[in-house]
Amino acid sequence: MSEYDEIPSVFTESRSASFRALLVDVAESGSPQNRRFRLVQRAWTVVPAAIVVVGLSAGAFFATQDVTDQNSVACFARAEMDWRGVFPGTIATSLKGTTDGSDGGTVPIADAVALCSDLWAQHALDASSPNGTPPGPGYNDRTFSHAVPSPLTVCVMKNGTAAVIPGGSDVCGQLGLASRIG
Amino acid sequence: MITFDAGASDAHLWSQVRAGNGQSFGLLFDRHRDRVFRYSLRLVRSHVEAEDVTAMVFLEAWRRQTRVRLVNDSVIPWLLVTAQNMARNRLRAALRYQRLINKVPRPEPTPDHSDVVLERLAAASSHRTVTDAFRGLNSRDQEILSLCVLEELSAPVVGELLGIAPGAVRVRLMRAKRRLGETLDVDSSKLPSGEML
Repeated sequence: MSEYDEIPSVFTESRSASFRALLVDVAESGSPQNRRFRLVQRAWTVVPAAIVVVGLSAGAFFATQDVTDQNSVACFARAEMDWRGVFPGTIATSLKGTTDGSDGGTVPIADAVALCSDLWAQHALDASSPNGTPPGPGYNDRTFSHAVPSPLTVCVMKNGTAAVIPGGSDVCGQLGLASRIG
Repeated sequence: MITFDAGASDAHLWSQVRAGNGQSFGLLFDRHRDRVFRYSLRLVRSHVEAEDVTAMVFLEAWRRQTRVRLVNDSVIPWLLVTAQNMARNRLRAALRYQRLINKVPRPEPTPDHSDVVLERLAAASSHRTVTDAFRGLNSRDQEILSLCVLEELSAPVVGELLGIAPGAVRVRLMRAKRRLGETLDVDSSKLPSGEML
């Protein structure tokens, strides 16, 4: 006999009887408690699975987004971005209206890829440079003869502006950005 | 035809439980209730909690019936190890089973069992010291000491249950005894050895 046998092992009789009845009911096939317990058991399996599915669906929903701010475009020199949202490249701000009859206000940038392609062609972007722009004054090549990376993909920054990034369709996801709808 | 033979082996009763026979589960509860309860009582602070843990152990056995492992045709080793885990993860277990457990009313407030234990041990302070020292051990040491020394299960049985070799059980037991001995400041070779050594 061990010393622990000296500990009084008095399982409260009334509780013991109740627990026993509960266990018999739970284990008895087809009893109300048995059916309920099985349902709960299934819920423990199904609910986490449903949460995962909803989570993935939500992820897919947020993975595509519309460009809501067309007054600027982020032109990336490389597919990189740090946690603060800093990236190598430049932000092209909206063009001022210069055509006749214009009030001089902003003109939305409708074609983000065309805009960034122009910057690449002018050597305003440089993939080999740490900050993504060539040393010295930019826009220095008015011949538009510099190479433009292909493909360029439009993603959407968290603030709703377009980001044009060298790389294929998976580049947005790699940087944690949404793809543009459409 | 299903019979309710109180003398049937655990293995026989368990196969009937798995076939959906509640009365067989009741017989298993009758057979092992006190041992699981006493074991749980060492791990928790109150009598009522130990009763709850005991009930949860049986509910867990039913829920995980495909994983219950009978050792030498007995379900008790699995129940004891599960009691250890239940006591350790009481919060999680309670989340799963509290609704069912709450169906059984708690008894009127009574003195905590530790008071009773302490009263009984007051005459022999060394016993209290051992109890305190045991509770001060980590859960792995408590587990191996409980199973091998207090429950007197053999090394092969404990090894099969914990998924480790009997030799590893002996090593873990030796270390646990050494740590208990250090706490008590006694030679660990003088501690109870259990059936296995």
